[in-house]
Amino acid sequence: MSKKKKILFIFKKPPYESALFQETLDLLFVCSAFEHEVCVIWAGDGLFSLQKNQAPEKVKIISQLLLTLPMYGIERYFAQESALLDRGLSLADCILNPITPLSDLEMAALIETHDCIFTD
Amino acid sequence: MKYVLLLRYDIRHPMAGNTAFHFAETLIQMNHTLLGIFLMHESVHIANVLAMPAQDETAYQKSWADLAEKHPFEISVCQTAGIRRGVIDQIQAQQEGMTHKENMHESYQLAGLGQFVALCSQADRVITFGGQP
Repeated sequence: MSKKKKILFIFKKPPYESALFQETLDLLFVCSAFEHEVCVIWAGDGLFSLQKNQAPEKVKIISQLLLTLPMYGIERYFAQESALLDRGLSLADCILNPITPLSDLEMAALIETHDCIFTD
Repeated sequence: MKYVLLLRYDIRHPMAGNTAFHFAETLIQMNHTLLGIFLMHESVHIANVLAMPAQDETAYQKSWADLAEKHPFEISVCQTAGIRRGVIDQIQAQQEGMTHKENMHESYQLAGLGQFVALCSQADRVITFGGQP
């Protein structure tokens, strides 16, 4: 009855704003545990969660959580190119690699190839 | 088609529940199947008997429960999100040593994300309601 799905996660919110990021990440890990094919796009302010050298006091370091993605077999990472430029960010400063930059048109095409989309 | 609805809107916005519920009613009317709804983030309070809407607002807690009785589907509340926000069922209350403090409507149940993903695996469409908190 149930089949393997292609599930896309889009992270759009800044990392320390609310519990939403963590709760969406939990959902991502469970999807992966169910052996669905998981893929991630970081767009808009979500790109800040990828930045190296995060040093929050008293809360979990978001970038450290993201470093566990490869352990779950999730290796396809994408970033919204226009959002990188708008924020003056570069892929070299990101804790995961390789990350493929996407134009907005390429993002739309990627979204279309997936069965299910979750965002934060 | 088989649908699963993910609700994650803030219940304090009176109109928030309208779109989700209207969508659910309509898909059933059009002979699609609603496999279940999953409540996450601030929507866990839909299941909270202590969260009562104003007199002139729709009580979606009852609306969803009534709909599920007529056209059976799962109504699950995300366990982690629920516990974090103080919405617990009888089992959870007992486990935490807080018997009789449960506040979940009887038609709703706490469930883990695994249950949600398993439900999504059977669905043709998963629709999320609720954007910015």
